[in-house]
Amino acid sequence: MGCLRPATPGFIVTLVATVLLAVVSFCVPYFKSVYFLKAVISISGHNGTITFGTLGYCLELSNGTSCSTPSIGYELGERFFFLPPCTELILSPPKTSMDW
Amino acid sequence: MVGNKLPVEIPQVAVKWITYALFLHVIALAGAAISAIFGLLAHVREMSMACCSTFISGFSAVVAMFAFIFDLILFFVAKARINAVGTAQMGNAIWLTLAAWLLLFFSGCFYTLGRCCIQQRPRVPGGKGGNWGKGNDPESGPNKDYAEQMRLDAVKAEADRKARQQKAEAGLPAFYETQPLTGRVEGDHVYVDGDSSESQAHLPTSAAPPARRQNTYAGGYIQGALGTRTMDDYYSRSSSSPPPNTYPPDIRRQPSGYAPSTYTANVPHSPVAQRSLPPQGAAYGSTAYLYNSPLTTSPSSNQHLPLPGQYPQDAYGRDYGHSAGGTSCMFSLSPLITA
Repeated sequence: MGCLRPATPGFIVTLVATVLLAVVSFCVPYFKSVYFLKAVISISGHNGTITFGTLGYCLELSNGTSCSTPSIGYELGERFFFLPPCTELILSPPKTSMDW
Repeated sequence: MVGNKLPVEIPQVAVKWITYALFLHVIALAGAAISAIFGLLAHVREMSMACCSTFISGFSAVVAMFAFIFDLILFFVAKARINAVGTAQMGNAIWLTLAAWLLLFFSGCFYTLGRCCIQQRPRVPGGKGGNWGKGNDPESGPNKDYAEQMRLDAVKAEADRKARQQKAEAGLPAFYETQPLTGRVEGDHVYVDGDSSESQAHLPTSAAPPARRQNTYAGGYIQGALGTRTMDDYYSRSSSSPPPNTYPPDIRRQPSGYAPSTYTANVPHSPVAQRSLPPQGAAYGSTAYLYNSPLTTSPSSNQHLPLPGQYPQDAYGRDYGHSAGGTSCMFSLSPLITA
């Protein structure tokens, strides 16, 4: 192939690394299928799934999926998206015991 | 429920700070993107851009490594804790981070690999390299022409040198001679065998009559006529052991009588040069070139001529002044000796 230059392998490697990091960086709030951790929880009999990502997390319940707004640093205790009432328990402060 | 050990029970500040560490992925992404841009520029400016790209990808690799370590700790701990109350499973993102770290780490190696294996050197046309490596040299066109040109110049110079060498004779180049060695020595005088009398008059002034020479060097050394040079004597006699008294080199002496042939006027150094005389006597010094008296006069008038020849018998047991032919009796020698 005449199009291969000496710099081509290195360029391809850095390009692939860039793509991978882009996918990882914008994973869960945007790409729901790539996540760091998926936890299956049950809230008052409802099973839900929380998937954690780089900039946020997503909560999947039987009645819908809601994701947090993408931000640098997130936590489950605050900054919630509007959630259906059956997930109120998540909104409670951490000190309260939760029936998870 | 007591005993919940969920990440959410961690003080919120800490949770937030931990999730800040996830932003390292974005920083590593920025570094990798810049490195990829430099990698693209490396196709144009190979060495400098490849170095920049490797440099920045090294930084990105370090950041990605920290991000990976954070992810590892954070999510494996969370997974362990959630498993106590539910189920949890790891996702793909952490392994993608690991892969990106390794790629950034070894990008420099890949640049070097490309420089080694993808040949850009110019090749002989119709060459033997063929398709070695991954194909080559779209950019070595000017390099190839230049290399070809230099090679042709070198070949041509070599051919010229060989041709010149073959024209030249073997052996050492001769010394520059103001007095050509085509002369013969008559006793204490040097007679030049000239083609004509006027050729000798020109001899001191001209460097070398080219007609008499078979070949000339451009460098100012001229050779004597073949067969009369000292070199020829040396080479011809090299097989046999030289006679004991060969110093000074045997100058051709032709037995001749008192020949009216003229000899060179104003010969500055001639007999001296041929004999490398020992520095003897002040009588010789300034009058070395007083061979001006014509030989047509009677021999007796030559008495004022200095005599380089009449030396006391030197260590070689040979009388300088006397030629082998015994024709040196042109003038009386004894009164002129100034010992």
